[in-house]
Amino acid sequence: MSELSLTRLDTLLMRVLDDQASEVERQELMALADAEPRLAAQRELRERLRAALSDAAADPIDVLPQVLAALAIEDPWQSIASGLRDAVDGDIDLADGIMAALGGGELPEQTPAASLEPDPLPTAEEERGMLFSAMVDGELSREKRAEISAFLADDKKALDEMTEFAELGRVIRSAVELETRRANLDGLWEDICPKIGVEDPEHVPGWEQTAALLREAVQERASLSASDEGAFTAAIMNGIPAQEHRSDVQAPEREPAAANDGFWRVMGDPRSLLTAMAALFAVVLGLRFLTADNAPSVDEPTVPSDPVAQLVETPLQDSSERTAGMTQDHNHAEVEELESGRDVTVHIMPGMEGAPMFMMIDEGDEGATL
Amino acid sequence: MKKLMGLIALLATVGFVAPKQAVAQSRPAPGVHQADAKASAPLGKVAVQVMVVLAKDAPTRRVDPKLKAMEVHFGHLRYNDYTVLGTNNAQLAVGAKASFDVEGGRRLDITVVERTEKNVRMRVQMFKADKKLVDTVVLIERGGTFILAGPQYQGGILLLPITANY
Repeated sequence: MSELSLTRLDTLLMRVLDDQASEVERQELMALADAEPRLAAQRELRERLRAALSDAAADPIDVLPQVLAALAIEDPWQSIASGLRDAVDGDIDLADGIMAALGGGELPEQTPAASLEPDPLPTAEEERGMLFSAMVDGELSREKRAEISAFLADDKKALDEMTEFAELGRVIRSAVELETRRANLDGLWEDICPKIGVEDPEHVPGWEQTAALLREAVQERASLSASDEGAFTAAIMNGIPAQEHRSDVQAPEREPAAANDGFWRVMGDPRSLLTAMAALFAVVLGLRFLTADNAPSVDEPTVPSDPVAQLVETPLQDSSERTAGMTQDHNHAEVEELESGRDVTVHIMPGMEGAPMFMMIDEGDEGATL
Repeated sequence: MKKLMGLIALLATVGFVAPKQAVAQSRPAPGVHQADAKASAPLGKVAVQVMVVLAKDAPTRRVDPKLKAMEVHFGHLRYNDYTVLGTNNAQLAVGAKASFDVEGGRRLDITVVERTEKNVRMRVQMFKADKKLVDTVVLIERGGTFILAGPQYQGGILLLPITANY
């Protein structure tokens, strides 16, 4: 069979596959198949082809690939699929495999000129770094943040990288802040210390005693505005180590009250006796109520008897005094159990070098960023 | 008079059985060394402080003076405006729970689970409406702080530094 006839046969087969072949084309296809020497020996295959072509309802798709195979006419997509399979099975570049299957050959080697491209594709490491950086900057979607959080939980190296990015951000922000600060108060405290008789700038025995002297020293300079004075005071407070409010002396354990202590208190006061009698009356009434089949079922909800804390309404005089401990190494914390609601992502940032642990909660519907 | 004495006897029977049981529970179990019992015994309360801080973006950096001590730990956050919205305090015995309302319709429940010489174990639960956001048990060093953060509020996020001291 000539190349032309083979091409025609292939075309007709494709039209049959697409269910677009007319009756005349089907007959032509059958005639070409009969004339094809490579199909002559495969009588059964030709009969199946004939049956498929003559019956409009039959699906010829089963027999056509075999005809194509007998004719050694490859389905072009088969080679692509083979190339893809090879690429996936082996550890080779997928793009090269596809290009080879498409007949385009392998991707051209990167020439020195090409390597001078201004925007080369980032490596996996660089992409990961960009992802972490974007997460720290709050530029990722909630899904991406959740994905990275899960990843970070199992990868200490990645966690360290995140910490580095966070630290880098802190350093940059600190640098910018220093540049844009109106008044640099660093070192001012060390200058003031000798004037007020404080030998060690890092240790102030009593803030109240020195506060008046500090005010005098500041007034001597007479160049600070009210806001700067506030910042100045805060800077000094920040440099003062928090005082330990704990005592090593253990409070003596309170002796448990005697079981009949309340009894004698009742006996000692007539008003208490009346109260106790009223209570007894209530108990008797309650017992009668319970024995009259009116007792509540065990399954009924009951008021929880959890002890309730005594809330202190008045705020502390100086909150910074209480939280000053955060500058010391007292902030070690460990998460022992953790459950979060559906759609809620929790990301733990362990504190380092005395810093407090952060537990970041992403509520899901709105999202939170570091 | 006989009736009165009978009433008193009944009072003694009904009213003072429970106190006896309570006293028994506070004593160490037989066989427990006294030192061990003291290490975990609920001798006193834990002072729990929950600050509510709003962190947001602003043209210029501004930190509430109350936060100066902890400002250094906010360095990795991208916000530059930190305002204390409120400070809540509670004195909690072991097993006691306190509930704090948090901005944005949220609620924070804190339960002191255990207290030792060095650490306090607290259960921290945060809710928004009926939805439980997080339920965690955290072991905090005595006098230490950990920060719950992230809930959105007024264009920023809330930071909840939780400090336990005793």
